[in-house]
Amino acid sequence: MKKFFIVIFLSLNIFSCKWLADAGTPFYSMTRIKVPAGTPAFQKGYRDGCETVTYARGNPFYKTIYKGYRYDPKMIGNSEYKFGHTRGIAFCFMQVVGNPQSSFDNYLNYYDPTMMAQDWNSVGDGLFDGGVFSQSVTTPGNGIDGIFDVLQKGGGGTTGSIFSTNPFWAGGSVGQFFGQGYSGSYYGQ
Amino acid sequence: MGNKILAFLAVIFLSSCSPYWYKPFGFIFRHAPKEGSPGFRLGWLHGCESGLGTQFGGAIYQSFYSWKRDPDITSSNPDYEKIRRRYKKELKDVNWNDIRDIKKNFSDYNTIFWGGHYFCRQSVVGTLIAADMPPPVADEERYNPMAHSLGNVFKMTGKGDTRIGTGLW
Repeated sequence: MKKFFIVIFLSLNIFSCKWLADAGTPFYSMTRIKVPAGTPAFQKGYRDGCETVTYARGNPFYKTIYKGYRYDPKMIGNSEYKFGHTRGIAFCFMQVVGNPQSSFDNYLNYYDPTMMAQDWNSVGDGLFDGGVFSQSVTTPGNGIDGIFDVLQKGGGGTTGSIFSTNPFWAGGSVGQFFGQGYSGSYYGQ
Repeated sequence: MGNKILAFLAVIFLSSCSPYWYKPFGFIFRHAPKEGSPGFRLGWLHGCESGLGTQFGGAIYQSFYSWKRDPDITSSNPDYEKIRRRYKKELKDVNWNDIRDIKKNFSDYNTIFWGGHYFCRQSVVGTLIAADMPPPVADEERYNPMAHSLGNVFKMTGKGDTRIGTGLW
């Protein structure tokens, strides 16, 4: 029994009583969006506005969870509902556009650090098709070779990595180690 | 038997259609409110069409949708008979003998118009951005059809696609 209370008090201490303070705060499922305090009409408007824009501008994750356009026609003359609706749209728009829930397998495709959309004809479909394991392991800049690029090139080098070049004389004729960049004249300044 | 199956499938198929199923992005009209006054429902439809016809929809969707807000309903001195004849089907449940009911419907139309406008224009621009085809800002550049493909909106590797296996976000 003593252990039970120790765990409870310790947890509350660690989380600064956040559990108690946030008890009863309605969150949108699977999001960091919470409905602020206010009258029931305001909260309903806020939820409806948030769901509207979350579906409209959200990624497929949100489109799966939320149903779409929401505006209660019975509340059309209610100023609090309308106020909540516009506030919900404004806040949730920034959430889903600027700080969205990402896919659960986003860590798999570390090979594409830009995370930018690409053309249908040239992009791979995930880990195996077009991912790191489908690349040649020794082609400079690709596949497993590419993973070690940073070891060899630093960041913006132009030579190959340890799998395709001599790791001790990778710098070329000017003699630097590990391929660090050298842009000036060797005999000049 | 074959005809019966065909008819059955046709009924199933058509019953799930939105009013503009034959247009690109027509599925968005499934979100049109089923409740509310006739003016409310008509206002949302017109707002959505107008939203899709803005620059948010780019050249593709602008080819299929345009500004639809009815100038007579928004007028401060509307011609009720003219409007009633124009929307025989859509506004048939309006009590045209009751001025309060008419004004309520017109007010609902004007209020919800921008709600539908906002929802549909954000939906279409979100889809275009995800497909890597963000519409250019007006006057920024000329539309280049060779750079775009309608099929891109169905790809699974777009910006923000979270389906398992895509791994781009």
